[in-house]
Amino acid sequence: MIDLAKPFIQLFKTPRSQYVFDVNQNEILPVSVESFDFLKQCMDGKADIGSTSIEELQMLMQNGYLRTESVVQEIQHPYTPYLKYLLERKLRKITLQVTQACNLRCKYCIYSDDVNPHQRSHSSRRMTWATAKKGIDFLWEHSVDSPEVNVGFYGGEPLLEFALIKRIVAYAKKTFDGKKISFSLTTNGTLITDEMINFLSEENIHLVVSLDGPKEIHDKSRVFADGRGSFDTVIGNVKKFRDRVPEYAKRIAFSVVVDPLNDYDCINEITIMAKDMNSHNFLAAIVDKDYDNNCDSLIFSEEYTWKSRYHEFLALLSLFNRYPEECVSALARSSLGLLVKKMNQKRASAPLRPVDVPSGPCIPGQLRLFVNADGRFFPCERVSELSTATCIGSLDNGFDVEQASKLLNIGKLTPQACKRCWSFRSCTLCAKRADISSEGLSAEYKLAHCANVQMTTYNVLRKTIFAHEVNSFYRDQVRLERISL
Amino acid sequence: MNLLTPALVFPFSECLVPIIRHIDCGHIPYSINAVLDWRGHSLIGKDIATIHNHPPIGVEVLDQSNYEKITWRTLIVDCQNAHNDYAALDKNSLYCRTLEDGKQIIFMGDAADSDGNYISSLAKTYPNQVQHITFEELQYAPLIQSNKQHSFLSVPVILVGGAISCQDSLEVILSLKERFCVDGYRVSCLIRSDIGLILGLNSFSHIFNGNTLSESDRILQLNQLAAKIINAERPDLLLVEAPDAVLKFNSIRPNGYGVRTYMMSQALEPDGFICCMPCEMVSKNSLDAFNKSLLLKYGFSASAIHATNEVVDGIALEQDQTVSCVHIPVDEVSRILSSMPDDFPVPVVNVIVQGIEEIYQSICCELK
Repeated sequence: MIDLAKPFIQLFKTPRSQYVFDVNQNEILPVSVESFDFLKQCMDGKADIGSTSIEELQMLMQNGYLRTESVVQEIQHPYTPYLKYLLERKLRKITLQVTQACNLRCKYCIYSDDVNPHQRSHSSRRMTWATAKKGIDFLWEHSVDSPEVNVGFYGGEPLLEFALIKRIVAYAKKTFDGKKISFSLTTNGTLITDEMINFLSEENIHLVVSLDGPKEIHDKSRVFADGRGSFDTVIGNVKKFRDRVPEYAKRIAFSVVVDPLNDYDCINEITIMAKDMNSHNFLAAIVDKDYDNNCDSLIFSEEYTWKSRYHEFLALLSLFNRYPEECVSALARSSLGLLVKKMNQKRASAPLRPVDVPSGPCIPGQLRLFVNADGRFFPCERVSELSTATCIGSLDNGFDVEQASKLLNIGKLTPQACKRCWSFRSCTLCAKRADISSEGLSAEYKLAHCANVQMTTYNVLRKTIFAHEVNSFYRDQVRLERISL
Repeated sequence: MNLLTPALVFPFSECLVPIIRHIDCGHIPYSINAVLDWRGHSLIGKDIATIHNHPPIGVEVLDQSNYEKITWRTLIVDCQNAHNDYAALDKNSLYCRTLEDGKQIIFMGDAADSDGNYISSLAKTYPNQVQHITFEELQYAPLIQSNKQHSFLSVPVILVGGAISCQDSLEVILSLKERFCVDGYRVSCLIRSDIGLILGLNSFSHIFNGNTLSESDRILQLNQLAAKIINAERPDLLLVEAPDAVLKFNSIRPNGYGVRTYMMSQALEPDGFICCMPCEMVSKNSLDAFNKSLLLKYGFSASAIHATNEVVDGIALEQDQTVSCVHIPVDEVSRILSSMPDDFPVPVVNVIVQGIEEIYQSICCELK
């Protein structure tokens, strides 16, 4: 059998046109129906790109498009030689795990024994003042090139350590006198007191409260140790913020963990119900159930899928001023905001290079340095604290640059698959998706996520094309209207 | 016998590094022993050159808890940078304490309104101890022609600027000035910051800082300021610092669009341009493309490149849409440059490590 040469592309078709995404050039190009059909045949192994007589395709090939091989020869992050200096001089955010204790027992919590065996369990371990102070000093010592810094508080439930937080804020402000410093805190919102409200608003601490939806959704998962739902307590506390410090309350963000088994409209009710909360501040994320390399454990109900798509469509229309913004679900708006960000990133990102890296990993430690209660460093709060592979140092010993470099170059774990992947520039896989805690980083574990990543990339590119088409469609309509006037 | 008055500078700013490094060529009556700064800049107890990861120059940064540990008689205040929204340090009490101790304060440059009023009141109360030096354009004789007319500049103008930041442009200017002086040339300088007054450098900050001038008025004022300096100082050459980064980083992060440098280029029509560019951005292809875009946008291209030790921070680009850098050791720059094929269209050096000679020779050739 003859091995026909396939171009390194991905095809997209919409009701209005057809496109080819050239992976090497990192560009989406509109093509004729004839070209599209021929390229489809190539991708299906029924034609050879080298044999085409279509002028449009020949022209593209002459200009470097439609190459059959990836230009990437070596997987290496461009910042690898500079990682040491980025970590020495340009830290921007430190997140302190002030306690591992929590007063809730959320059913999806990654710290529950029965949810994620690779992660630590709930414990009463707390950060000492000495460790916290060392953390702030570490940030000071490693941020000479950062124009501003942020200190985050995380748990467990961080407000269980309110006295420690107050002490840290005072010390950090003194330490960073003259530099812009901000604080953030993620809480379950159940322990708020008047004193806390005053302190949080006076210090303008960016507050993120977990709220999964209306009572019937929230209380399904977010429960106290005795099994009671926490919704009424959280909403009561949010109301206290609104009564005491209304301006500050408008800036509170709500983190919504979405289980796509639930009805989207029902989840969405919280954003419509809470009209006087600032509905722009809802940050939605699909619940993470992917602990045992079981990518299929997440189930999307049919209702969730079509309703969320409908709301995304409305959000897109509102983006182009074709639908009232206030009638659009905040969750859909938030997800559209992320899409627009990705579209902008796509616009600014470069073609593939001979030495390049899939786009998944952050600069471990520099984007945000997570310091757990014991003073150990991790790239973020989402990775396993039991893992040796994702631990990138400690307050006592400083950064383990070699380990951080391994996480930065996680693509080296699967070089052949990465070089041939059409989602190279849109990859979202970092070391977390390759980490099997006690066993270290696994190529097999990482590769199991590739299909999901490609599906996500496909959807993002499809929406990018759709957004472009909607925009140009309405622009044309407006022009026609003007001409007819 | 050392007759120089020991001085402390407040606060720290990046342009102090080249100024202090080249302080000897200014023939000023002070020796700068230390710099007082806010603690948050992560420089306390370190050499001031740490800010750019350059080799130390022997001047330490102190904070308010230990600035009395060294001997000083004069406090030099950089008024442009003395206002800090994020600082708790009460600078007014610092000034009072200094004066009550019988020490002198020299305020350099234009101050914000509230600070300006306070400085005036201090000057009245302590007339023998307080001096406020501002850049007075009026000290120069008025131009003969109408003040609405664009002047012909009778000496060559060399612009020095950065591709993505302003780092090291003052260092290149001061190194070049020194080198030209060795060969007997008279050189005048026009720079962004008022603290350069300490070395007798001219500043154009007042033209960009006010809100009352239109863009065309600013261009005209820059032109007339340069003409007045040339009339008054009779230099053989005018070295000018570009007011902002010359390169539009990309369509998402324009980095200021280089709009002020465009105005400067219209005002002065430079005869040469020296560009400070992060070493990681230097290659034959990028320099060719860079020079083409400069020529289109400003009407000049780079005659020489100073490869800086900056590396653009990708996280800040993505998260904050801002162009900011991390500083690698300068030795790394040499290593990176030596690992590249030597096919650059213009001389490329790192002035901190290799000195200014190659750039100097290239400018001399260009001016011949």
